[in-house]
Amino acid sequence: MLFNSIEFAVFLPVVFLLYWFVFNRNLRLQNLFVVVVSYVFYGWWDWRFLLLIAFTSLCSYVSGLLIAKFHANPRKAKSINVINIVLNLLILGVFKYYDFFATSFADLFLGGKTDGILLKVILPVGISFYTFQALSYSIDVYRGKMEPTQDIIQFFAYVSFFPQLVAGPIERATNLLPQFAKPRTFDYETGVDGLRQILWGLFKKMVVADSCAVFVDQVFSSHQTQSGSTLLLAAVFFAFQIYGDFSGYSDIAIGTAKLFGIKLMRNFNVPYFSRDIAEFWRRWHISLTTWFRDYVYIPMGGSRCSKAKIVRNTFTIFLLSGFWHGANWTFIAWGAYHAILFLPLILLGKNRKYRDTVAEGRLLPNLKEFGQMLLTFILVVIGWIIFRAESIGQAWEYFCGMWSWETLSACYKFFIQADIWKTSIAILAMLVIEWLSRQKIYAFSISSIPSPWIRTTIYYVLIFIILMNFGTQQTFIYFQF
Amino acid sequence: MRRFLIKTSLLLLPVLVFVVLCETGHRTADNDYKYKYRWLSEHASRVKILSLGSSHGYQGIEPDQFDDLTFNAAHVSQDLHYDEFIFNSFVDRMDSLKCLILPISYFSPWSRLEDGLEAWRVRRYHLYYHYPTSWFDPQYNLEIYSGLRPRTALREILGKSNNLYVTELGRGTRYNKENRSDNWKDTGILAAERHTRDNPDTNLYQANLLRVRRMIEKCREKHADVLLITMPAYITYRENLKEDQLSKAISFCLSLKEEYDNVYYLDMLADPRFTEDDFYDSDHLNEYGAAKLSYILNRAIKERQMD
Repeated sequence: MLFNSIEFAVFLPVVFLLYWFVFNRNLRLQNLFVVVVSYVFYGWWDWRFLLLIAFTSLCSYVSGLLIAKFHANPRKAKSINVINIVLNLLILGVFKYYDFFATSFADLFLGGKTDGILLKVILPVGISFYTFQALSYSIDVYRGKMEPTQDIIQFFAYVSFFPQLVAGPIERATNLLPQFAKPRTFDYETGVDGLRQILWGLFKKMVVADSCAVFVDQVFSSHQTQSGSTLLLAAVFFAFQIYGDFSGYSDIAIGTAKLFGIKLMRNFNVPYFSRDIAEFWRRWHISLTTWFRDYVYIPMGGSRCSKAKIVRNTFTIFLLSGFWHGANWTFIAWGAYHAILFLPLILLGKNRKYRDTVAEGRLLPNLKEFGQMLLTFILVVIGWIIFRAESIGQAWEYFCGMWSWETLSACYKFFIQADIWKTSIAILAMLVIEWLSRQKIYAFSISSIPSPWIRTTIYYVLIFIILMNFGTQQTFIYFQF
Repeated sequence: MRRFLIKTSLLLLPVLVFVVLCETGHRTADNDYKYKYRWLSEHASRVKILSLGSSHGYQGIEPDQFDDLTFNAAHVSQDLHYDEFIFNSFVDRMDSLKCLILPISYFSPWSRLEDGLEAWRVRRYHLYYHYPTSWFDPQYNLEIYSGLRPRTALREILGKSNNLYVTELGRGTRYNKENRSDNWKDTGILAAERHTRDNPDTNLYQANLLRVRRMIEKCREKHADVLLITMPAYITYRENLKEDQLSKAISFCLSLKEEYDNVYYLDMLADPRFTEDDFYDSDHLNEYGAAKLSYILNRAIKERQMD
């Protein structure tokens, strides 16, 4: 079920009312209800996916109990933890990466013939998200960061909680699981805030991202025949498409969770206002970045080791992060590209230089800050070309094609013909609003506007713009990951 | 909670009214599906020649050119499953039926409406032809699923707009010569590519063969003929077709012709009588081409009846 669908528009209020009015008297029953509706939400794509998520949840739940049971025997506890990790990664590997490895193997050794060696299984939606979420639990229990839960329903609710099930934020058991362990109460301000955040997420997804998608898809599918300026414009638009799409999803997820009295972690923090790549990675897909930091990077030694090991660790997490996104060399190249950009900063000890928000306390950035943001954005856009391309070859062709400037007029023509200007206004509006509220928890946090009439008018304007864009419903890019 | 529910309901009520008005507008207006269903419901018993098929038939068969009352019940991307559904919906009332024209295109034996970009049209069959699908799935039950389009909805409610693009007897009117783009010949490569199946589904082929067989047998019960036809196409389309798929599509028709005595087949794909002036694009006839083809078909039907 997509957040931007009529099905969800019906599903959400029904679930909300049942959750607060029917199942609120008994915590266990309320959690069971969360599990059931989350499975309905997920099974809407394909009921067979449910078997996988149930299996993954069960494995991590049992692992947690066994790790605690063998606490006195570290070797046994470690073995159980390792078995659970391997099992989960094996499932992920088979469903997500097997065909990729088989095809690569066939390209290298079988002359590209893949007959009979491909599984061709459907990739279950959001498998990477919930697998990582389930893994974080057993690892945290093993590390003694938390006690294992005895309540299987609570645990299943934690893994399958529908707002963040298919595209994050990838929650930590230490944050989310305790919230299912205590009774929730409805708070008016939090509820209103949740609705506002949903509205803002829908704007980013349906107005910005989906409008960009039309142009981007058209240009990327026929990049050989496009002018350099058109290719450049499409690359920039893709940067906003993926941001609107993914951060929009996160906003809807976080907003929806608020309606149910659950607080999810922040996943995006105005990443395109970053002054260097290190700051970008602190603001982009925060839940994944911190996951890799806590469960891969730091255990490997992090940045407190020799320079050679820092290089190894940095490349490892960026390559893993790229590979996490999908079974294609383009994602690995994208990860390597960011590792190369990140490495000088960490080696020079400048990766933590910008921990504050840009132009804090000022309306506009100074020239230096503006230049830094622009340069970072350009570097990120180049990365997105690799990310969006079907193959490394296509990415290279696309990149080379961008430098044929002889046909600037073609871009202008495209601008007029394809209603690109409307999309540009939407992007600009999003950037202005995000800039003005860059120090807030999310951009559309307008509770400080005193007049309810002005607030209501803003809501209606936003709803109207969203409704105008309804009908060209597109799936969320990150579902495939 | 009470305050939250009241305020949220009040905020969303106008939105809901707006959405309902848009849906009402789109449902109120006439469209090809609604019109054709209504026409067939009223006149099925008088129809002597019924034409089905996809956009090739929808644009290419001009009922006015036939001596007998002919109705074009084709729609864009209508596959053989929906052809059979429409045929079955009215066949019992078609007491005068003499001939069923069934265009079999290069892609027809392997086509499923639900698989393509035009899958949204399933909703039109559900809403206007009473095609059975899920009663609760909004994509099949709500016109707004393809967009609210409030300006259009308002015009539709006021009776100032409709979505009817067919002649009185059902031929599509949008693909006319004056609307033809300058690069219409270039559409051949893309159209052929779109219509070519890399891994043709043999099960679907067999299922479609069965569907056509069932229609033929029902026609035989009514002493009616079935005219299978491969529609004319421009050279830029033809030369990009995959030979293997094309020969299978033709043998689809030939096997039926061999099997049934009430079936005849016309392969007009490369008929030299159709020139540049007859096409809207590389694989669709325009109004002149449709008139020419229908004149030829009318003659063929007459000759067959005299035999």
